[in-house]
Amino acid sequence: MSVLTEAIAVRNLSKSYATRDGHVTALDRTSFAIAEREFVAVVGPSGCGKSTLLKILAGILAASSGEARLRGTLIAGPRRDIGIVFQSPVLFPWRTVLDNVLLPIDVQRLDRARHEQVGLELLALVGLHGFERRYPWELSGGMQQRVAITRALVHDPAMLLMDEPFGALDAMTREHMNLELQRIWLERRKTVLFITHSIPEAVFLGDRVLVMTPRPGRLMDDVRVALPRPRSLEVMNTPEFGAHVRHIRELFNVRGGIG
Amino acid sequence: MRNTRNVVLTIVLFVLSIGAWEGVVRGFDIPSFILPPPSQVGVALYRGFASGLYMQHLGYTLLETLLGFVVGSLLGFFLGTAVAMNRYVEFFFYPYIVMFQSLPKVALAPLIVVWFGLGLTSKVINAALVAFFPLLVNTMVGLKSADEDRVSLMRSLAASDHQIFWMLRLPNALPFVMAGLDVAMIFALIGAIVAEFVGAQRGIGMLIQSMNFNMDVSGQFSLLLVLSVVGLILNRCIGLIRRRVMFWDPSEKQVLETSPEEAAPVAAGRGVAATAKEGARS
Repeated sequence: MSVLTEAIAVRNLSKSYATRDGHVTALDRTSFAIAEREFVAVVGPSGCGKSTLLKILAGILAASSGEARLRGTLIAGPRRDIGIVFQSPVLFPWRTVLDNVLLPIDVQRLDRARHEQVGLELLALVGLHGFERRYPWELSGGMQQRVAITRALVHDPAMLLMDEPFGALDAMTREHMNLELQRIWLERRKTVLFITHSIPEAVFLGDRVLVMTPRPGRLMDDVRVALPRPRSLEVMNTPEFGAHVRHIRELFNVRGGIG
Repeated sequence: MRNTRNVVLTIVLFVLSIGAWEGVVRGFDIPSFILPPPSQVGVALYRGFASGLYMQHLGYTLLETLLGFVVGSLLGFFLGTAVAMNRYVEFFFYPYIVMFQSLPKVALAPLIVVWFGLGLTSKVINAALVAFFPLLVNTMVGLKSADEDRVSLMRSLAASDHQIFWMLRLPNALPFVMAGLDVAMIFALIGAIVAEFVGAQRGIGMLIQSMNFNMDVSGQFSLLLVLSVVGLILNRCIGLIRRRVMFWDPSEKQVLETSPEEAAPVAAGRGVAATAKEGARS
C-alpha cells in the first residue's frame, strides 16, 4: 500500500488510564493503516479498546503515546472532516429529522441553504425520503440510526467512524441495515472504520477485518476479505465466508474466549 | 358512550356529596361557625363577588403572586445556570443552597414583613423566595443531565462550549425548567398568602385572616374555593406554555393520542419530569 493512498495511519498507539488499582492499558502499541475508500471492520470482545481507538481517531481522547494521522495530518483534537455514528442514534429530540442531519452544518457555521439540498439527497439515499419534517420519536430504531448515518455524511467528511452502530437493533433489522450500509458505501465510497463485536458482521461488511485482543487491546490479526461486492446475505453461506469467521473465532478461543 | 356516562356519574356524585354535607349540617344542627352548610358558602361567595370585595383583593394577591413568580423564577434560573456551568460558583454557592433548601422558606415570612413592611414589597419577596428554589434546583439538574453521547457528538464536531450550551444543554434542560415553573407557580401563591397572613392591608390572605377573627367560617370556605380555582387556572397556564415550548416532547402529545399502546412510554416520559419535580419540593 503506497503512502499516498493512506487515509488513516496509526503507529504505536497506546492509551492507559490511571485507576485506583494502578494503570490499566486499554490500547497497547497498535499500528495499522487504512487506504482511501477502504472499509475496515474492527472486531474484538468488550474491553479490547475498540471504543478507545475510535475516540482517539475522533480527536475527543488524547493518546498516551504513539500517533494517529488522517490524510497525513496528525489528529490532535476534534476535526471537522470526520463523521461519527454511535451505538445509539444520539439524535436531538427538539430537532426535526432534517435539522438533526444538518447539525454538523450548524455547528460548523456552513451555508445551511446549500447543505439542505445535500441533506435531502442523503435522506433519500438512506430511504427516508418524506421524513425530513418528522421528529425522531416518530421513527423506529432502524430509521433513527439511518438519520444518524446521514448526519455523519452531510458535511462530506474524509472518514466515517462507526462504533457498533447496529448493536442496539434486533437481528432482522441489523442484517437489513448491513445491506443498506453496504449500498450507501458503494455509492459514496468513504473511508470507513467500523467497530463491532459481531464476527459475521465484520466479515460481511469489511474489506479487511482487524482482530483485537482484550486487555490490553492489541492488534492480533489483519484479515483481508476478498469476497466480491455487492455482497448479498447469501454470501454468509459460502465456505469462504465460513472460513474467515472460523479463523477469527479460533483466534479468540486461543486467547481464552470472548469476554 | 363510556365518556358521557362518566361525566354524568361525576355530576351525580358531586350533587350527592354536596347534598349530604347540607343534610348532615342541618340534621345534626351543627353551628355554622364550626361547619357552614354549602348553601351558606354559596351565599358568601355570591356576596363577596357582587360587592366587588373579592375581586379587589384577589387582584392584589394575583399581582403579588405573579411578580414573585417572575422574579423568583428568573433569579433561580440564572443562578442555577451559573452553578451548573461554572465550578467556582458551584463550589462557593452550593453549601448555602443546600442549607437554605432544608429550611421551610415560609418561616422567613415574619422577618420579611418586619424588614419590608406591610405593602406589596414584602409579599413579592416572600413569593419570590419560595418560587426561587424549584427553578434553581431543576435548572441545575437539567443542564447537568445532558446525555454523555450527545456531548461526545458535539465535541467530535469541534463544537465550542458556547455551542454545546445553546444547542444541547439548554434545550435538554427545558423539561426540567418547565417542571420547576409548574411547582414555582403554586409555591409563589403560597408565599404571597402566608406573607399576607403575617401582616397586610390587602389581599385574599388578609381577608381570610380577618374573617377568622370575626368567626365568618362560610366566608373563609368561599375564599378557599376561590383560591383553589385560581391555583388550578395558574397551573393550566403553565401547562399551556409547556406544550408550546416542548412541542417536541412525546409526553406532551398524550392529550392528542390517548390509545393505551402509547400511554406506556408517555408515562415513562412523565416520570422524568415528576422526579425533577420531587427534587424541587424537598
